[in-house]
Amino acid sequence: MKLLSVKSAAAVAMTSALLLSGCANKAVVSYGDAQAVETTDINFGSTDLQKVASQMTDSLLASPVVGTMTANTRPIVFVERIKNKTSEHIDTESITDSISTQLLRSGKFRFVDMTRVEAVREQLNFQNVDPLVNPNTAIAFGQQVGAQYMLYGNLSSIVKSNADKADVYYKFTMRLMDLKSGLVEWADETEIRKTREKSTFGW
Amino acid sequence: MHRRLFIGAALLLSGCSTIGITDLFQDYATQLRPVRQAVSQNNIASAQQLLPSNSRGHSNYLLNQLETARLEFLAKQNSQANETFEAVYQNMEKKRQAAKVQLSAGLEQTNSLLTNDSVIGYEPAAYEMTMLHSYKALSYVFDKQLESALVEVRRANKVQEDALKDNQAVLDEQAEKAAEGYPDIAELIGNVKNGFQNAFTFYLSGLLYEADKQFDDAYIDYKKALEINSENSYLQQTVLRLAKKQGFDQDFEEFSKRFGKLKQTQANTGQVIVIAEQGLIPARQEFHLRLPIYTSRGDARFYSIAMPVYRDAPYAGSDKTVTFDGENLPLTPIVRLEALAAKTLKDQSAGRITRQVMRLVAKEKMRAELARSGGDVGNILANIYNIASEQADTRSWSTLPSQLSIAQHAMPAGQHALTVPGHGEIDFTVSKQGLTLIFLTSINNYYDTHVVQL
Repeated sequence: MKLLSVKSAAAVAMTSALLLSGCANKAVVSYGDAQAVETTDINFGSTDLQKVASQMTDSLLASPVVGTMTANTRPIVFVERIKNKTSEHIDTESITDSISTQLLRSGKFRFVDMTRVEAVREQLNFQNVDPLVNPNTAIAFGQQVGAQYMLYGNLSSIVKSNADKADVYYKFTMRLMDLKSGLVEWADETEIRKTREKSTFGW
Repeated sequence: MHRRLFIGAALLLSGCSTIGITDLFQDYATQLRPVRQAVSQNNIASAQQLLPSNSRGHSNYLLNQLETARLEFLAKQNSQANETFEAVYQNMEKKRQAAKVQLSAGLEQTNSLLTNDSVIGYEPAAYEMTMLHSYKALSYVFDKQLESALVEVRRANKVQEDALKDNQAVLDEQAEKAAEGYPDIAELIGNVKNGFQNAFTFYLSGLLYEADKQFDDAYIDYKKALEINSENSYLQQTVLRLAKKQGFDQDFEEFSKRFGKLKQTQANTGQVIVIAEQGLIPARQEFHLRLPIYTSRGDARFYSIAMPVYRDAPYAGSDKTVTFDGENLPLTPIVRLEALAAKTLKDQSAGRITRQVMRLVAKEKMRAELARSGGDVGNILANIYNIASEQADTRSWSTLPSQLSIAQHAMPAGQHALTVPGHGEIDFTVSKQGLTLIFLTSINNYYDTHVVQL
């Protein structure tokens, strides 16, 4: 009898210990490769962003139309926005930032930044109106150049799931429009499909 | 040995802390009563303080977060409410992606045998998830972020699609019956869908798509809303209006036959949409049966059965009309959340009864064992524990409104006023061919309005 109760006490202690260890967390911090493939979950992630941005830039720079366009001049482009038509809250500005940065790096395009217009206006106002600033060094209004092209796009998704797996399909479309003629000079799309199968057992 | 096991079980319950001691002996609806009272007395700040805050491991964590977010929404703390709602959504997503067989879920079921159903982790029902996304969408709309609101609309539609899939069997059965000679199949399917689909969410989704000039998408969702709630005259007119606008001639003719003529509107007008949240959803109540059963030797044994029920009458508030510039228009219900809640409870009852029976057996085993090893004291203690710990699972999102109603009116561009009986005037602007949304919340003494030009 005694042996039995010792055994059972040990069993209870072990189950409790097992259970409690399930609740305990050990945090580990480490650095990783920013370009590494990330598959934490099925949602739009860094790898998708990088893939979309680099494919779009490559396609734009390789396009023959853009080649003639940028042969003698560096066209001025403004990024309208990427419309988010998915069922996730995605920071599409981050995608356009990546694309415009890579295009600028190529040295073939120049950009005007519409997201900072208010800040520029405020600064120019300060320079021209505030007595603190030497009027000779103030930048006069009306000297900025207008954009010739508009870059814009859509990001849409189709999400399906059942008891066994989840599937998400992203389609990213981008276009470059000549603002003077209204013609779309370049367009491309890229697709991403991700599938996640459920594991059978888990905690 | 069994006493040790009992202690082990107690350790287990507290170790991973799925519930607190209060939850073991007091059901959810009782705990939430003061919060609901504070909300109806228009004291949101005190309601927020009264709401118990549960830790992440608590079985009511998601439910608690829903209540928190709703109170934040009522307190006009939109961005906070959105964060809390998003956390619930992310949690649910994780659960959906979890393994098919989960050890922790099995453990919860075992725990529930020795205590009550409240130790089983709460997962929001489909109608609660649709409301979550609707509130998030509304918060984004109030902050003028239509694109983000549309993300929520798409998420809500996914929830509704899944609910439809889960209930396909019920629909098929009804369709079969209909084939046997029921008169109008569309009507019938609508009535069945009424039980698990939220017409308001589809209506809101249609409205936001219309605001984004995606008229085809808007038309589809309005039509889905109409399928669920075909009696709403505003919805009928909206579907007719869009069918005409988008050139769905066949639909237009068919709907005209069913719902009457489309009211003509001038080119210089815009649509004014009033959405009113009314009342507070009924709380689940406990139905308790204490059965004293005497053994052949004359010993008394106490068994207790507790099941959740809805006892309240349907919402019957007096807020039935609104006045647009002197013109009285009725507020027509678009969704009765109380009905969706009742349907959910009904669907869950089979599992509940099975667990109740198993629990009765498990608790009796425990009592017998304690009586054997602990004599009369053990017996009495076990009886007290059995009765006290038997609580009905009255958990459900309890700060939702009873129902949502709509009114819609075409008005010429310019300044206008809306009069809500008992609450004074709301000024708003109508733009040509534009949409103006007026969102009203009235829960007893609580009253709040939002006006947005979409």
